[in-house]
Amino acid sequence: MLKLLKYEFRKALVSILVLLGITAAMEGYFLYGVFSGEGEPSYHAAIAAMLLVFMTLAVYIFVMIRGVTSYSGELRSRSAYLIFMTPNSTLKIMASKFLFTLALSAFFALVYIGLGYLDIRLLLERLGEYAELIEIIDESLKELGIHTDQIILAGVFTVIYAALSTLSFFAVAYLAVTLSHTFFRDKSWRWLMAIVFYIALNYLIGFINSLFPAAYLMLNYMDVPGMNNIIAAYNLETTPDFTTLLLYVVPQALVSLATILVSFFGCAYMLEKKISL
Amino acid sequence: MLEIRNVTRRFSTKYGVKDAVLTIQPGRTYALLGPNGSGKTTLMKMIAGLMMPTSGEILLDGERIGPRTKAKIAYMPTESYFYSYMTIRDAGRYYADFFDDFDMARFEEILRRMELNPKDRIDKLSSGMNAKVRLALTLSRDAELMMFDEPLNGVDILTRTQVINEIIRYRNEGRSMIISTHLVEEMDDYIDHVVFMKNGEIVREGSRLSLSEEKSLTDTYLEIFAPSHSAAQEVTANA
Repeated sequence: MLKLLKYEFRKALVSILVLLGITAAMEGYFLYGVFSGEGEPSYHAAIAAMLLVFMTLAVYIFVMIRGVTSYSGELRSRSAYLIFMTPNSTLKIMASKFLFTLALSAFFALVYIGLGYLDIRLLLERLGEYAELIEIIDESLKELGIHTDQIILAGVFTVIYAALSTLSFFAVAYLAVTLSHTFFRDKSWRWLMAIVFYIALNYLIGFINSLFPAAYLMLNYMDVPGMNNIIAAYNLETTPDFTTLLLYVVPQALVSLATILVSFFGCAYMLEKKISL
Repeated sequence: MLEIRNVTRRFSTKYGVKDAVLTIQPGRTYALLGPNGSGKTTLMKMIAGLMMPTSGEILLDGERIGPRTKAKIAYMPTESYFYSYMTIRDAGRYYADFFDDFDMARFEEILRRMELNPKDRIDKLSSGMNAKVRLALTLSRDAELMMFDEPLNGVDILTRTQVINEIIRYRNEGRSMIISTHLVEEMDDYIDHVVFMKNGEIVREGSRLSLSEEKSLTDTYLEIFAPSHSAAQEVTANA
């Protein structure tokens, strides 16, 4: 498995370096903006910060799309022989592709979270208002009755839920590509079938999801100002505890997880039984 | 050793391979002969596990084609299949990473004999040089079964002898070889068994000796694939 991952990395190396290069250039621009002003950051810092935020989203989407397009391209080209000729099971091959995309998105998430933390800190320190701001935030939260552990728990849960949803979105794309390649290998319009499969599969998943309480209902239960109106609007009698909130989100997270697993095993099965390179 | 049992591979409207039955014996060299589109590559891909049969089965030492049989089969595809970043050395390392039977020393030795520079990027090589790289990689494995799909394609006349000599060098008693080609004469002296394919079907097969008792390999080839040409030749000869 490590060897397969090594070659997935090698194939993606150029795009990784390009992304890191662009990020480094933006970070350089940000630092220039922070230190170029007289006594305080210049407007360049604000522009660079916006670009970095945009870049974070763009990179995440790029990494996922790169994974799918690289897989699709590989199935169409002779280079697939290199992998499928080796004594590796299709499960291992698919696992290496899924894991690599996951690891790459985690790597860039860490890069941007780290940069974001350092940049915000640097910016606020340069403004000389860092300690003051943290104090203000603390006070405001206390006044609102929101505890730090609530925020952390909600944050962690939101991240896990969002990550599962996004990953399932792309896992389905892998399955759609595999299905179109398997059944329409010799057709020039197989890419169109990949899109059709993708839409159909997502429609099916959406239908399954609709059988469970909607995730957005979680918001209705959040103990924040103005929420009382929402609670009233939805005719909800009480504000439940965190466990109840979980019960609303867990089913949909499980659907996402199941989607990822079905897509993964589905791709491996199709490749094993119907491979045609 | 290798058993091909009623294997059919169907593409949407036509057959790539139709009801093929063949047994490959250990230590023998087989020539898979037929014009382009006769099903040679499809059959080889199925043996290599790159394509699944629509029906029938292929067994190597009693085991269905899968990851374990891939460890015993060395396949040289007819086209280049390397990643764009790869140098010849990278390709060797790739094979060494995935195939336990890959012999790096042998690979380097073949490269030297074929005058290939390990530092060269494969996608910058000519088709003949590329064929040599694919050949070197395949021959550097100690596989039970070696398959060469059109090894002489894109190779100039001088290099053909070199390619054939390299293949012959690594024949041994336990190893079977399958060589597909439509250049019949070049391989004539080195094969033990001949399999003729036409429109996806195995139309004739037999040992080289039994076939040569009847006619030369080229004449048999022409008789199967170009009967009118063969008949014209006979008339000319009789005249």
